[in-house]
Amino acid sequence: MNVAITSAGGGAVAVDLPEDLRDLLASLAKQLAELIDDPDAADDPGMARLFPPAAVDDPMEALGFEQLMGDAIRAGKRESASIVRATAHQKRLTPDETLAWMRCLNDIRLLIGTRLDVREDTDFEAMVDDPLLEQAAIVYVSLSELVEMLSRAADPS
Amino acid sequence: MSSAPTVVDEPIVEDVVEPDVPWIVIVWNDPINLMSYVTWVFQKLFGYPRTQAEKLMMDVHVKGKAVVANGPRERCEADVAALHGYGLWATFQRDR
Repeated sequence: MNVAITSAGGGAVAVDLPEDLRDLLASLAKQLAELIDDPDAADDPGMARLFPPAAVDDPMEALGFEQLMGDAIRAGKRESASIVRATAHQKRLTPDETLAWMRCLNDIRLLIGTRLDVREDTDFEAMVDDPLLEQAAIVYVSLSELVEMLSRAADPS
Repeated sequence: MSSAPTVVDEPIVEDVVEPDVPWIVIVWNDPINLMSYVTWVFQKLFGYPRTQAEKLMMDVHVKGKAVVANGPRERCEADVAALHGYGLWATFQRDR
């Protein structure tokens, strides 16, 4: 099973992933988009991590920011998820598609990582031995590898 | 004691309630975002060279937070919105 994301020149990347992993990414992106639009998910700690307060110890400032910028931030995350779903099976990603993959896969890591209560010293090997956490931990570690590869392959300029 | 009024040539202080550059953007450390990803975002978003982006990332990682940008309030709000779009934990405040 080959897993590789490499620079393809001109800001594009070449994506070599097994089909089942691509299916999983499309499915996770769909779930992320649904969660963003779910009013009942507002109290989810993972969602709170995706939309953190923009000011420290200043609820009014944070609220003003949410009213000013919240819709645009949600729209951006929705769009990235939509692009990942549409391009999940492509062998090559344009710079814009690469950007969407990085943002969306990282958002999913934030969601899962928050739910798993990931810390700096989290022992994922131990987590993978816990049947309740195993699945989420495996997905989290896989997404970490993909984001790491994208960050190395993608041109930030 | 003299109480004669004297005309003091006081400097004219402009009534600057909102100075031009009183706001800063702070990125906070978190255990989930990858060092390589955070560095990439600083390069992409602010156009910082790699070495500067890496130094900022390490400041966030080691010190718990770092000021990554400053400027007028509207600019800082836009930066924070962009950073939240990338999933980084960012806040803005007056620089004091």
